[in-house]
Amino acid sequence: MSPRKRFFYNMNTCIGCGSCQVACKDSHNLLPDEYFRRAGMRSMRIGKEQRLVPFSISCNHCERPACVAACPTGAMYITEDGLVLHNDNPCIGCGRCYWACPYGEVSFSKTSGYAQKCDACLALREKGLTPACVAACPTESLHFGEYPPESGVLPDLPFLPDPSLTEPSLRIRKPDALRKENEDGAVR
Amino acid sequence: MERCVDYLILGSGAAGHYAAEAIRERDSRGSILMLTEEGTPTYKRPMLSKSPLIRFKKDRLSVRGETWYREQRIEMLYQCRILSLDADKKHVETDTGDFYYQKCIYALGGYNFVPPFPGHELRGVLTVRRTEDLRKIKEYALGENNAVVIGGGVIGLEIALEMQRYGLQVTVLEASPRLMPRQLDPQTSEELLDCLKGIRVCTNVSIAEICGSEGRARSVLLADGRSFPCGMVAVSCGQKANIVIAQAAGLPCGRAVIVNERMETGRKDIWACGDCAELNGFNAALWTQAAAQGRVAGANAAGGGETLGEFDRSLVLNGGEMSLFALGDLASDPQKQYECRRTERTFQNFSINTKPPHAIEKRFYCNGRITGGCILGNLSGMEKMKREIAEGVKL
Repeated sequence: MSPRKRFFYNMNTCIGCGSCQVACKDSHNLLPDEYFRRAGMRSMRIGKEQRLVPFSISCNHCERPACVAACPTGAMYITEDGLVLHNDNPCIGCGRCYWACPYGEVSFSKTSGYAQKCDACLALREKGLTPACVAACPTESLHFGEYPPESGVLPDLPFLPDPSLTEPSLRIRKPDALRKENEDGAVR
Repeated sequence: MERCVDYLILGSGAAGHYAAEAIRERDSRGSILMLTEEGTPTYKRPMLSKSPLIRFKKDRLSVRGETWYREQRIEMLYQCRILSLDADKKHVETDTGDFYYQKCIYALGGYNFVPPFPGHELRGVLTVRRTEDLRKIKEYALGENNAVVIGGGVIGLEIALEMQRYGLQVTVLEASPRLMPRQLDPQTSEELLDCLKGIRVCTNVSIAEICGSEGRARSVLLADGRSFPCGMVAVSCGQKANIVIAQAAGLPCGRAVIVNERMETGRKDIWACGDCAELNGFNAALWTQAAAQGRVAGANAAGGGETLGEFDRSLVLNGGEMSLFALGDLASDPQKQYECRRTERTFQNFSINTKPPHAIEKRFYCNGRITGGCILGNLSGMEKMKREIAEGVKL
C-alpha cells in the first residue's frame, strides 16, 4: 500500500481569493453551479468575536468515506494511495453518494447525470503535475502530497460536520488567533 | 454462419454483461459470445431517465468501452435477433446464424408494457427502454410545449422531471388512486404529490384514447371526457419479461423464467438472470438485481457454486428540490397491523453543504419490528434507515 496522499490547507495564509475554485472549475470544465472545490468566507467564533475566515474545501478523501459505503455499484472507490475516486462506468446516477457525503462534496453532473467529485486532478497528476487548485494558490496555502497525519489538525471547525463521522484525510492549520486562547498554545 | 462457443450469452443488458465479467474472472480462456439486438455495448438503462435530456449522449452510458471487450476477449454480435433455443441440442438459432454452446446464459431482459389503448401505435407514443427512445423524445419535443406521461411510477416521474427541465409542460396520468401504490403508503403518496411542483398529476384516471392527426399523437382523452393536448406521450406502465424463447425451449416459466438462488433454470447448462428471471415468484426489475444475478449466473456457468446474496433494492428518486427514498414494506398488507412513526428532521445546514435541510422520515413497524421506511426531502438519513430495515430493529 502506498503512503496516503492528502490535502494540507493553511487557514492562516489563505486570503480567500478563490483562485483554487476557479482553477478547479477550469481544469475540470465544470458548468455554472458545479464545483469540486469551493472557497469563500465562513463565519466562526474566535475569542469573543464572530469573525469571517477564508476557507477552501473540496472532497476530503476520507479514511472512512460515506460515499464509498453507500455506493451500490462500486463506482466510488478508494485507491491505493488513499484517495476516493469516482468511476463513471459502473455509476447509475442513483445519488446515494450525494446524500451520504456530510460535506456535500459529491454532486450530480449537469452534463452526464452521473455523480462527480474532486479526483485531486488525477489527469494532471498522471503527468507529474500538482492538482490545479494547489498550483493556482498565490499564497501557497494549499498543498497536496504524502503528508503524515500529524502535519496538521483534523478539520473540526464549527461550520463543518464532525470529522469523526468519516475521518477526513484533509489536514489544516487553524487560524493562529485560535491558538492564543489556549495557554499551552495548542490548537483545540 | 455456424459457430460453437463455450459461453453463449443471450442479451447484453446488465445481467448479460456482469455474467460475462464473472465468467472471465473464473475462466480466462473460454470463448464468450454475447448476442444482442442492439447496436452498442452494454449501457446503463437507469441513466436513460436520469441523464439531463438537454445534453444526452448515448456514448456516455456504456458500462465499458469497446476496448475492454476486446481485451477481455468477450465478443459481441450486434443487431442479432434470437429466433429459438434448443436446450437438448445446445443450439441457438438467430437471424444471423446458428450457434452451439457449452453453457448458456439467458439474459434477454424485458420489454416495456404498453397497454392497448386505441391510438397506442401512433407516432409520438414512446416508452423509455433504449437510447434510441431518448433521441425520439428530443425529436418529438421540437416545437412542442406539452407532453403526457402515462404511468406515475419511478421511471414515469423521472422522465417527467427530465422533460420538465427540458422545458415541456408535463402531465402525468396515473390509473391508480395514488402515486406508487406498491412502494408507498397513501400519506407519503399524497405528500409526494405536493412536492411535484410544476408537473400536473392526475390520479385515478382511465385512458379512453390517444388521439392523433396525420398519424401522430396529439392528445390523450380520458374516459371522463377530459383531454390533454400534447406533442408526445411517454408510456411508463411497467415491464414484462422476454420469455417467448424460453417457453418454446421448455424452460419452466411463470411471469419470467423460474430460477433458483444459483440462477439455474432447471435445464442443464442454462442459467437465467436479470429482468427475464424470477426467484421465488419475484422480480424487482432493478439494475442492482440484474447485476447481482448476472454475476452469480456467470460464476456458476464457469464452474462456481455461488448463490444470490443481498443487493440494494431501495427506491431513490432525485428530483431537484424533491427527493424520495423508500424501502421495504410500507403497510402494504391490509391483513397486518402496522404502526407508523413519523419524524420531521432538520439537518444541520453547514455553510458548505447546500442540500435541502428538511426531511420527513417514516418507519413502519409490524409486531414490534421495522418492516420498511421512507424519506421525503433530505435523504441523508437513508443509509441509517437501510441498516435499521436490514437488521429488523425493534420499535
